[in-house]
Amino acid sequence: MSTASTVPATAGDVKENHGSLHIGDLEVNFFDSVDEHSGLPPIVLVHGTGGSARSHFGFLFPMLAAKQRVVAVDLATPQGPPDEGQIRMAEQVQAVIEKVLPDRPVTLAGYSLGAVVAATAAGTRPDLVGGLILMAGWLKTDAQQKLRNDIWRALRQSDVEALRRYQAFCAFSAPLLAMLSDGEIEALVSSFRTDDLMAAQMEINRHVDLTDVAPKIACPTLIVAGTDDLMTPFRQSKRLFGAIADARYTEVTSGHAMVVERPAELVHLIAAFNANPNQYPAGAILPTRRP
Amino acid sequence: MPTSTPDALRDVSVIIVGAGFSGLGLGIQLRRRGESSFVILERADDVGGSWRDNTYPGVACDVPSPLYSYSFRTNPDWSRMFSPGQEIWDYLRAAAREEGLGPHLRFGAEMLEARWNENDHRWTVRTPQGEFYGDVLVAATGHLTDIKLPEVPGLETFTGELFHSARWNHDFPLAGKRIGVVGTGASAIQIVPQLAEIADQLVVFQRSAPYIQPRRDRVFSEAEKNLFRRDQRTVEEMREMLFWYNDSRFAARRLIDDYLAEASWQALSHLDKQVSDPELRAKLTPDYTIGCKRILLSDDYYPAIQRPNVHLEAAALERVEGSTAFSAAGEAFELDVLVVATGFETYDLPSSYRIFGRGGNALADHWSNGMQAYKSIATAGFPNLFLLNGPGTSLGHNSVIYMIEAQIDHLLAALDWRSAHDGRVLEVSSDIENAFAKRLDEGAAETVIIRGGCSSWYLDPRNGRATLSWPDFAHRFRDECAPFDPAAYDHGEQSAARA
Repeated sequence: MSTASTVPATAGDVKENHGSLHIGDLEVNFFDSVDEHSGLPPIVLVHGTGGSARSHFGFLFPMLAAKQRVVAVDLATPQGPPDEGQIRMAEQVQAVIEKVLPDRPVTLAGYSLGAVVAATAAGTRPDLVGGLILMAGWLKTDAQQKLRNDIWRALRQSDVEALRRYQAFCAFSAPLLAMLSDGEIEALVSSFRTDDLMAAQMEINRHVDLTDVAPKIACPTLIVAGTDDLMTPFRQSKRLFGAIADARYTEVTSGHAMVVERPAELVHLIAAFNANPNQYPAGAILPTRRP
Repeated sequence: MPTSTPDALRDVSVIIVGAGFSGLGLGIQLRRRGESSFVILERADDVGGSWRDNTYPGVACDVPSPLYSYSFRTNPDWSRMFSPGQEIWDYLRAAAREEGLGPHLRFGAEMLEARWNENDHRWTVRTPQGEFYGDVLVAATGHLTDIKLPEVPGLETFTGELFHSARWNHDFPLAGKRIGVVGTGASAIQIVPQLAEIADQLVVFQRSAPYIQPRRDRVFSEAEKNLFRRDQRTVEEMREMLFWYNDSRFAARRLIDDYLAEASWQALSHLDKQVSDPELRAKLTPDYTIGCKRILLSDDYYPAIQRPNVHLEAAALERVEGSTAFSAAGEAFELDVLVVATGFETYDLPSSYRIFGRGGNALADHWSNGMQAYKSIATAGFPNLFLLNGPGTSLGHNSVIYMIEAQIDHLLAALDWRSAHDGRVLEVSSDIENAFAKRLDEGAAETVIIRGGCSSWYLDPRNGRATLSWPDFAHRFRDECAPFDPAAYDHGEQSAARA
């Protein structure tokens, strides 16, 4: 890693700094809300497949930043072998933490592929991570996920419009899609990416395996699963719950797109965990929330 | 006192003042825990609070019914997403009856004065039904309950029929009359479409145009209600979806660009769709940031305003002379009826002039710089007094019932603690109360309530503080304010044994 720059930018009403660093020929961007607000550990957010800090954390970033410092990483997609993807991305997250938040415990929160990356980062550098949150993550890509990945790949070759519709179908919960108007469905459909970078991330997704790294995760961990998730089914989150020693588990009623379907509930879960990671002991399933 | 008639609940552990959502909710929880030593004092002759008082045509809640109800008493029978006021009142009456609150309720028992007794460390509440004595006093008196009339010169001289929206005169025939409606808030926009149907002429006095979003109301089908009855989890799932969706709307209140723009678009595109006349559209376009005042939901207000017998006067009512109402724009209107829909006393609560704590200090005096309470529930100098739905509990984006339930949890834990500690008195220090209030002020300063460029009923005009408003997610209120922390309270004294 070498150069870094910092320029002011805004996300809504939250002041933030935008910075970047280089790892080899990859440029990694990040956003930093800077203001500490409190003695709480800073939260580092890692987005998922096809997303960015902005597109996945447009809600979580500013709302969490109201109470504690938040840094969000824009992952760069590595071009090497896909089975090295998770570690190459984890190195980016580790580099951002070392640069922006050196020598202090951070709470690392990853969503989807970002959860895989965060778990890898925490397992390979336990010294950097004080708490870990894995939203819609998975332990090791299984046959159901490979089947979906196959369909994704085939549709990308044959029918990109159908691929977008398929992505919307997979990403959101059935109850949410059922409520939407035709226009809202079309707006969702058109928001999905099908470009080469997305395809490269889908290849990385095919090769995810946290089996070896999960037992090395030492910090308190919160696993958040979506009850209606077709892309990383909740049973995958339960496998993480089994594999990580100091883990607790909870579900939100949502599809994979929980950052869109239940953003306020995620703010609640992340903020509460960050304030007191051991409110619930290792092995606990959080009490059902009945607002 | 010798004037008191015999009453088994004359002397109790907990006195609850008010039988609206807050007071009944607490009463239900006490009953379910097997508590019997509590009394609920209600000034009116029935339970129901706002839903008893507001009977105006078209009255309904602007929070979806599956969410605007107790989590511990879900209701499969709501007729629609936004149920009429009568259904909400019926829901509360059924709750009071079926949960066995009847023996605990005292009607016509207005709190005339509540006083902390320094000698036995207990509360005395004087009512027209005699005095009541309790270890703990719970002010479940609400803040949308005491009507506020506009200060308009000559209003009292109006020769026609005049009443407040929450004191509707159903005996007065309105059909064919020339009617003025003062205000364009949550009540007015429900009343106007109803009156437009029957009035000869209707004038709406608008001081400030509200933001109005589509209501998205719908009827629950018989099949849906049947499912709700057969599988309670389906009601809860709808409630949870509504709660977390509503809570996400706080991002707009905190002025996050994308969410603010979305909220504005929802309102202004609704206006564009429903009103084509550019002049009228301009009059109906608000001049402040969305969310500063309560966002209203209606599909029939804009159409009603455009009826030939309806006139929108985009100016406040300035004065009244006989049967003539003059607007601030100088227009004069001959009227038979004036409906005043100008809301309630929200920042300087009449009940606070009737509660006297240590040293005979009135709560209103303690609150002369604006009302405040530690965790929105306890105040310094008022031992064993707990407030429900008081300062720092109002939301523009979610259901107040959720807030009330969080407070009830805090209060029940406090009562448990007292039981386990020989009935010691619970009182917060000024420092703790002030620190909490300061945090709320700082939070509010980041929200549209303070920064939106309007004056709303969430603000205390004496000092500009948003004393009524909880400036955060609703879920954050539960996270912060539901837990009872005995360390935050001083607890030296003990309540004397009951007689």
